[in-house]
Amino acid sequence: MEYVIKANGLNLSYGRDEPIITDASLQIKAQEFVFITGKSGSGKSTIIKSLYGELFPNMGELTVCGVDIKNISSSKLNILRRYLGVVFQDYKLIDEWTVEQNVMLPLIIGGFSKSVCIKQAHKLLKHVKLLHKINKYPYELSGGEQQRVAMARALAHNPILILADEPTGNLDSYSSEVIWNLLKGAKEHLGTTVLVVTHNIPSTLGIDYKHYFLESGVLHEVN
Amino acid sequence: MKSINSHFSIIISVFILLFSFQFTKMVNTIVNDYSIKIVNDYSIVLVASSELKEEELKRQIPEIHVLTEISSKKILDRLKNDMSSKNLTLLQVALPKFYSLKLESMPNQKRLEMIRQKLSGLSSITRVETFAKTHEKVFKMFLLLQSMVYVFASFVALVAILLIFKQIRIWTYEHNRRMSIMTLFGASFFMKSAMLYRMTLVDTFLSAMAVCAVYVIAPQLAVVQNFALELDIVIPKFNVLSEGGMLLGFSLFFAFIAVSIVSRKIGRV
Repeated sequence: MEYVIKANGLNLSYGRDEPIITDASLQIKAQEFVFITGKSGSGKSTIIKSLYGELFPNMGELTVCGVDIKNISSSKLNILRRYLGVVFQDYKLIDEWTVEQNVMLPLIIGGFSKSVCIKQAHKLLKHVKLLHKINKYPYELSGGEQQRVAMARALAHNPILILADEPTGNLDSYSSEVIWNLLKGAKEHLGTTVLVVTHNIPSTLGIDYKHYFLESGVLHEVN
Repeated sequence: MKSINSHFSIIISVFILLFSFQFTKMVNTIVNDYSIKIVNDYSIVLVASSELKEEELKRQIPEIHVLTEISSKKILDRLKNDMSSKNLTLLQVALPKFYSLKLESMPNQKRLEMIRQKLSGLSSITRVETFAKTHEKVFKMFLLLQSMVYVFASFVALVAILLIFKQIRIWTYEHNRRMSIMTLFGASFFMKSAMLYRMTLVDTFLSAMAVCAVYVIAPQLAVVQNFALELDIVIPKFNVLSEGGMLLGFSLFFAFIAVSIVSRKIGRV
């Protein structure tokens, strides 16, 4: 599998509305770190949604980890999602579960034993400096802390591809730094492919990356 | 508190549904038993000038269960002191034959009148006495009671089903976020529904057990036994294995259907 993500002539829209993304092409190789930037409402999140199968293309081709998203069955989509780590703008943590249980979610779904789940959750919560809040519930944490938990959850099962939608959108500088270091670490140490949708690329990232710019529904590669 | 309410609303709804179902079944059994009892207590008296054959009568009236001759010996014994033996022998020859006729089931007034007319039409039968009015009144009262219980139980079951549907709507709202997030991470249908299945199966199991307990304990209470004695009815024994098993089966079926509806409603994300 040369490309982790490959899109050709991709058109995306919600229902019968006008397409938000038109004729987009995207080629992302394994272990690449990619940014998609653009103004608010330009369709950045829409691209991310299509990559984890929440939104299906109405035209064009789209393959993620070698799987054709356009014609994917429900069961195959479930399997594909187990190889992805998604960080959402609104965190999407389960309120009635503790921090530890939230981080363990992809591991539980992956069928790992309880001891492995606990060990891995503790390791990642230590990385995001939230080990002391292991038994807290998401509503007891600040926005920055919740996003760090979401980040730990996205990394828990060593995914092939991390999709991050505005991961540092509303965060303080400390939490932002923790998040960027984790994403960098995933690429450098685990060989994970990372796709981040954001307004601004941090100036102090210190790694090579690919950059796409989204304007009026059209995706341009920035050299 | 919210969680306790959620548990209680499903336990109570399923309890009401199962209770009304079992109650209807019990009343049905009581009425059936009582109709058998009435038929056993009831007989038509026939007076005939010659001997009657059960088989011949059965050919014309299939409802006949048994035909028994009533001995005239008792009447003759009472007259022994007042009459000579010669006159007594003459009387014995002249006396008609008395029969008691039992039926298979309790007929309605119309059918009974037809039976009476058929019997009266036979040349050897001189008199037919049905004595049915009192029996029929009591039996009709029981049938009315049975119909009322059916209607009442149907209404109660309807209310319970509406409560279950309301609970399905609450669950859809309560579990939507968790199940949607689990779907985004690739959880299968059963994995994301597992928590709801577990909770509902436990709650409906408790409901079924509570209904079983009520129907096992209630007939043993003195107040219920006295009431049954006054009405001259027998409260049927609750069979824990067959009836309890059936109630448990029903409750688990409701749980499975309710959770499947919720999971389908939340659906694919």
